[in-house]
Amino acid sequence: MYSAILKYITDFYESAIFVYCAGLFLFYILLAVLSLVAIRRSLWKNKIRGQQMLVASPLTPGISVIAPAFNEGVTIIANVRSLLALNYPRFEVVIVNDGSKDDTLQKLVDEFELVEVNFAYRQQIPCQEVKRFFKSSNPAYSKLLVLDKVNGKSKADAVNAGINASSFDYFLNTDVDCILASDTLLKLIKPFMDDPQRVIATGAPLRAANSCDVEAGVITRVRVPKALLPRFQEMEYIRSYLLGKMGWTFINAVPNVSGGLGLFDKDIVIKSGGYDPGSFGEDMDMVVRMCRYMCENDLPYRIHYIPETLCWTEVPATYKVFFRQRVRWARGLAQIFSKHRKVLFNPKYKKLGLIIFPYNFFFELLAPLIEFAGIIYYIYIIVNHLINWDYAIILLVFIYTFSILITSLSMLWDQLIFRYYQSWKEVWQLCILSLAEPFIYHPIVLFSAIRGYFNQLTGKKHTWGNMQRQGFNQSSNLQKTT
Amino acid sequence: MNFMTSFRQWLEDLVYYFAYFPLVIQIAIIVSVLAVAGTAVAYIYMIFFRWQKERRAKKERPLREKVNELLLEHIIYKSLGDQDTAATLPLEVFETLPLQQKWAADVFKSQLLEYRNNFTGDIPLLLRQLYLELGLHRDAAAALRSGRRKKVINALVELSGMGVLLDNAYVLSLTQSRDQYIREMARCYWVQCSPDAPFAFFSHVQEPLLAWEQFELFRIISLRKDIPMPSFAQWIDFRYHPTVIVLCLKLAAYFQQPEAIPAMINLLKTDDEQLRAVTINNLGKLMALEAEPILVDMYPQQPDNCKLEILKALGRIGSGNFIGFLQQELEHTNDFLLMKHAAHSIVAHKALASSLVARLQESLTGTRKQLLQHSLNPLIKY
Repeated sequence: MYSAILKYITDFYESAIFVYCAGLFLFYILLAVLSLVAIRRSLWKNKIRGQQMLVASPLTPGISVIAPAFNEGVTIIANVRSLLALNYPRFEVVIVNDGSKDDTLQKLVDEFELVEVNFAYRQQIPCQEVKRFFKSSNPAYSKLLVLDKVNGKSKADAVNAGINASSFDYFLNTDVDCILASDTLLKLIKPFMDDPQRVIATGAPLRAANSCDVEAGVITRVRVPKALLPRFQEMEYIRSYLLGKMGWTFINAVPNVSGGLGLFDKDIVIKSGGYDPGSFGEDMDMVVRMCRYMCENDLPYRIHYIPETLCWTEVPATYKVFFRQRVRWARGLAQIFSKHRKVLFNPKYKKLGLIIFPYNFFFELLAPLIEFAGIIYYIYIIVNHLINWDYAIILLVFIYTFSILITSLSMLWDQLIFRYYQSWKEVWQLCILSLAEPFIYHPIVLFSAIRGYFNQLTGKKHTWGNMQRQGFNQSSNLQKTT
Repeated sequence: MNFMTSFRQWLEDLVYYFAYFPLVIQIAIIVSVLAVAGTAVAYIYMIFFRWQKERRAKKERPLREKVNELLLEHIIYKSLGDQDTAATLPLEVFETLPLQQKWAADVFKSQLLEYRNNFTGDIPLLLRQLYLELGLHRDAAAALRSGRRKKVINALVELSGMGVLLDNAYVLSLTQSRDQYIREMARCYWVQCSPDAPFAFFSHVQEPLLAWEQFELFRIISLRKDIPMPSFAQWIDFRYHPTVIVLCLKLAAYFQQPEAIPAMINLLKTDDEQLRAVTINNLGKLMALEAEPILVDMYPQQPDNCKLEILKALGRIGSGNFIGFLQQELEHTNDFLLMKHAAHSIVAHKALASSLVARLQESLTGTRKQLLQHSLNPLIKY
């Protein structure tokens, strides 16, 4: 009797897991197809609609580039110069010095000839107190505005201060240490202009800058990261942006616009309450709240992703920093589902409630738990000699080959369209890595997610720690060595 | 060796017993085989595609260099050096290129377009003439009537880039196409190339002109120097589509057409808040003195966006007749943005407001004073 019940349970469990996997794989295949269509459509639109006319047009909308800085003294000057050199006719750069303890602010003051000004500031969304405002006395840097604020212990708080001080209707949220392509603003504003519906946010892929050649804040040669961990992340970014986000763009169901690079409709961000400094996944939380606002007010909207990589960022190079980052991301996801639980399966929220949230719930939030349970189950049946090795191997091969197929397709899409890497060798370095990913990289991601959920459940205090940067392959002596 | 033998044996067993496996395992096997095949195809295609791209680039490079050389030698330098360049182009030189091959013709056309975009004066006209005399427009002309969406759009982009108008009546009909992209490209093409009636379609617009299309049309119109600009006031009328009116409002302001002011004032009656705000904005840009009292009269009943535009417009017009109104707004409104724009507009009156500014600096306190100082600071632009 006992064994019959046990057999029934195990059969049910195995079938359920298989159905779950099949569902996930179907979604991936669907996303792969949709992303290819979306990428091709985006490139075709670029071909027929040149963006250069925006540079000369008096109608081009203004953009505020908001970049918070915390203890960035080593690289701040090169990074701000890079932001000021963006190719766009009407923009301002708002640097938010978030209570840095190093010489970040002093360096800015000295280099850009900043003077304190009496700036009319209105706090529309909550943030810590802004103590001082600086503008440059040199007309060459008239686009620069520097805020000196009390540290808010989160990027969200600093961005909110930047939004409060910004002048234009659109703002770009980025990190001061990100390296942006010079046409970033031109490319990101385009979807706002050519969609009949109101576009509330656009994003573009990020890649690892770790081994790229950088000169005066500009990428001069894209390279695959040399170290293993950043290289895995590069592969993951390509898959996530080109296959995931572009696929979701096609059906207007983008779940998140990365905190590293996103152009937003300021009005909607403010009406949605701005970034939440208490959130561990403030970028996704912001997008969810914007979508909720639009749905609750019955306003049609779109969120776009464009396929070109416009931002290079230094990804964690040590396992400790990487693990901590992923724990925070997982915790942020759990927090979002706890905070916005009313959205799940709620038809009032349209695609957000019926596609984005269910997908993220089953295939992002639950996936690590199901996978972890699967590992425990495998161990149990091995220990108790209940395993059918032939079937077990077939099922593992099924998952392994499919994961490689998905990564290979994303690499193919990347190669068909952009070819950022100059040599074959670099492409192969990434392709080969997909074979090792399930054994080396994926377990770390899995266990960091479990740890993140555990921390969220137990309410453990999160320590932000330092993102220990290695610096880029700079030809100048501006390497960050913190 | 043993491992390979056992593995082969295992695979053979798998094939042999496949029909007897449970459905789940059968599906897993099929998906795995498809995944391996898909991965292999992806890699092969990647190799093939990269190789093909490199091969094409290698093939095109010498031709591109040759085309550049010929264009520079026979068109650009001659035109720059000799203002009275002969009307006859050295066609025989260009006919030595393998232009009968599609790839070569495409390379040549792309270079022509690039040079046309990067030069002004006679050079774009000479390049256009060369394009026509070499008969390169024939493919685009055929594509225009092909009925295939992408071909039609590519033809419109090419012909528009070369400034060649073909098949007038047909192109004009495309400006009403049901396909958004064909319609948009045809409109841009028509506005760019029509010699006598580039704005003919304005009266028939039924679908909204997207912001992008408005930008593009604005750019093309502002660059057309070969025709006298019509009075855009004729389209600033409730009979036309609101997006056409918005475009014409901007064009009237850009070309400084004061004759459009009465039509704009008439448009202030519209129920469409966005349209009203754009109208007020452009009245300001036209420095419409006669609109000032009307704007001030209507101010109390307006939504915030229109109020903001009225304050901005009063600052741009800067007659000084309503500086007291601006002062009142700065002193009494509780809305931060209205306060800010009232302060900006007072400061925009420059000498006319100097004594008022001095008084306000003495009398204002708190946010209002800060806003005035913000507006007075030349380092702060917005």
